[in-house]
Amino acid sequence: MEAVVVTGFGVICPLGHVVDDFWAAVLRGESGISEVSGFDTSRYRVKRGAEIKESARALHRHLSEPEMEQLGRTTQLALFAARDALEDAGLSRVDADRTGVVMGTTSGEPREIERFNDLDLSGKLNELGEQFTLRYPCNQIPGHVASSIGAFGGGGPIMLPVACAAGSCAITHAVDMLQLGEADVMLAGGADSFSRITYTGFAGLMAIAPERCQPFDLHRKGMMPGEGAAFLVLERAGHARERGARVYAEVAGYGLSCDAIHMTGGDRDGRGAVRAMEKALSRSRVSPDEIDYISAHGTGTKTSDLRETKAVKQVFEDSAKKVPMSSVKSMFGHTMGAASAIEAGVCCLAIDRGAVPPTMNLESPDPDCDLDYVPNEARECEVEIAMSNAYAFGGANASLILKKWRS
Amino acid sequence: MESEVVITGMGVISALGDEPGAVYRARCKGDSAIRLHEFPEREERMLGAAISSFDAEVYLPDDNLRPLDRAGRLAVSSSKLALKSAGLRAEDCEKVEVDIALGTMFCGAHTISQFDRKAQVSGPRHAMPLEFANTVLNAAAGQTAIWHNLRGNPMTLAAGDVSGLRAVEYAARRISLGWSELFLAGGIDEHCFETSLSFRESGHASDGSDLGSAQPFGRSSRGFAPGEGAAFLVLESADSARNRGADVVGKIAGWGASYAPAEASADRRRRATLYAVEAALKMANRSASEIGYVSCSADGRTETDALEAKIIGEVLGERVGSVPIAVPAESLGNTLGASGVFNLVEAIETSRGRVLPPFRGARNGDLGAPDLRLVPEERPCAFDLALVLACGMGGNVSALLLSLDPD
Repeated sequence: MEAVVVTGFGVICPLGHVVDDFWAAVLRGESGISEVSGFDTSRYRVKRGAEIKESARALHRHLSEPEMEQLGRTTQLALFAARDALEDAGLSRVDADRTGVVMGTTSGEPREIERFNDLDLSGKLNELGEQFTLRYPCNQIPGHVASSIGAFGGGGPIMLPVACAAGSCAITHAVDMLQLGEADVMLAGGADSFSRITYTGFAGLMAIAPERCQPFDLHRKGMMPGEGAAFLVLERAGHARERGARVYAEVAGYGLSCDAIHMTGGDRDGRGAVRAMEKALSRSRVSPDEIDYISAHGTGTKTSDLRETKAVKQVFEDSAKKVPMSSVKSMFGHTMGAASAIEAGVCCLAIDRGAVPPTMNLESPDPDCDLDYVPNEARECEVEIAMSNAYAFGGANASLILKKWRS
Repeated sequence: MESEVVITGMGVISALGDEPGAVYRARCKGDSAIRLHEFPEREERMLGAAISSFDAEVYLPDDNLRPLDRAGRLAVSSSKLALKSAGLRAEDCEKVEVDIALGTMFCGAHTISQFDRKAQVSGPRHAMPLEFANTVLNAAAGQTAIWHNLRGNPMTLAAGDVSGLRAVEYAARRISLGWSELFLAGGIDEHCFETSLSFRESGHASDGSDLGSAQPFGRSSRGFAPGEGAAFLVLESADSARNRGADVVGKIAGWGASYAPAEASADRRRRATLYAVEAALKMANRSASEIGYVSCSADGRTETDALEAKIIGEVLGERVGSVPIAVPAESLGNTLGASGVFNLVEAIETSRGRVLPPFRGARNGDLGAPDLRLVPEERPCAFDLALVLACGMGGNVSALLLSLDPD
């Protein structure tokens, strides 16, 4: 099957909304975490999160005034990132019947459920109108993106809501559609907005860190809920070559699996994660010792850190301690359904620009986490092949292999 | 196609029964589950087709059901029936990696709403972590994987009320290419106050002023009746079925999917719908003249129903007045994520029973589909190629061809 390559990347997250600025901030190890301003946190034990605090003017770079007024928050973020990715790919126009949209999310537009409850609790449910139906079903988000950019191919827009592995899942589906010739260009990504429902849930699990996110640190205190969106432009190599597109990387393969053990806890031995990584390596025909960088799921919870470390050791054996593995969530939190799409983009940038991002706030390494997590400082290095790992509620595991493209 | 994709198991939980044959027989008798449904705590009555007697303990008698919400219970129960019907025991799922493709429009919208509501009314500390696990949109797929120890790809797909068919298509594609061996594929959605109200307030669902106000193909219909249910198929390669000695009940011969947003021109929507059918025929290497039965998604939304009738007419040509047309939503309502899968199951049962369920709406004669042969009595029918078509409310279209040739 013909190779599938990444020719565009668009992102909006707490660290920025311009790819070059985002990458520079990632390499500097900046923080996108601040006091939550989107809702009242006075009744919560924790107060901080990773919200996007861009000005309306910044968002207007890709969103019109009506879109700012009429679309839900997640849809706005998704549309912003999709248009940014197309611009980055040099695609000012797309072939409607040969371009498709697939994306992932954890919660879709949760603020519409919140609005429903706010209206209900204030006795104003008669003001619900059609907004809920227009915005809430999560398939409406890729539908809006597809309609806005005029991309109706690839079987039509579809949402793969596979929680925190959703962005990676979207990329896998896009690869399939391209390799089967069902589209020439696929926009694949993920999006989620900051919501009180998600924040309440993680707060209830006692999983939110009070100050900062510290993956793989002995004194870690949890994850940091965030928001964001990212899209990658994918196309078959021949199609990219014909139009003279710049190529970030090849999507060499992927692996998907399920722990099938616990909705939120996952498999502490990481067996599902191991199977996803092994499938991805096998499909890519890449051996573990060829991997130059691992973008870790790395949420900053002890369970997640230990599980991933254990799984990587099992798959990589002797080379496990040699491969740099970092978590960008240490900087801008867990952007849920967007996270693995952003992290796939980070792998593309690492390959394209020869540097790997740091794991920030890693000050006292956990003795049980003894791999090279690129602590606190980015590292310049050649990255030929990168692996991106994502794990999700429901036990979903996804691993992607991205590889330097040599035509 | 590298591998033939066969159906070896079916499991349904619907408002007309929990066994495919029973649902079909009820349909043949002209039964309907659509009625004015009471939401006592809301003092509201809305038209719908809820499963009033659903009790997951019937299907999962010795298990702790607390982790499951209603959507999860529907999914886990019906998937258990499907696996059993395919002759797959728990120990079989240990040996083979079974994948999941679950289509849903809302998954657990009521659970999400109640989780947020509790946090707003009583404070975030009163929102239960156990319930948070079910607020992610892949909760039903995750719970299904956990319950049945399915460790393959745990995919959730959302394409509105076309989600179930898209899930079957997703599974069939991967099996046909040799990327998967065994899939549990289907769809679910629950009937709840939040979605029922939003459909009514947006004008999609009938206001429920009378039972006939949600009449598929009815010229004076005022929208659909929201339904509820879960339907799963076990799909596998013909080789896998042969090796297991499994009974084959049908074959997925081809599929096509497309999209035209609601605001698109009538011609664009027509072309998109036709494209899906033509793609399915091309893949199956069959001609429209071989289609002996059509199951459609008509549910009482006059514009979409009229489009669907027009496309069926165009596809069948001169045979339009003789080919049997099935309209399951007339009895089950629009079961959203499950709808297309219920239609597939009914097509299989109809091929076995050789009788087409009646279309009660033909009694009043006020139909907007003059070319289709819609008759109010059950009638004999025999066919070996069925077209299952779904025109979704978000603009997604899906067409599947089901081969029932005994060879």
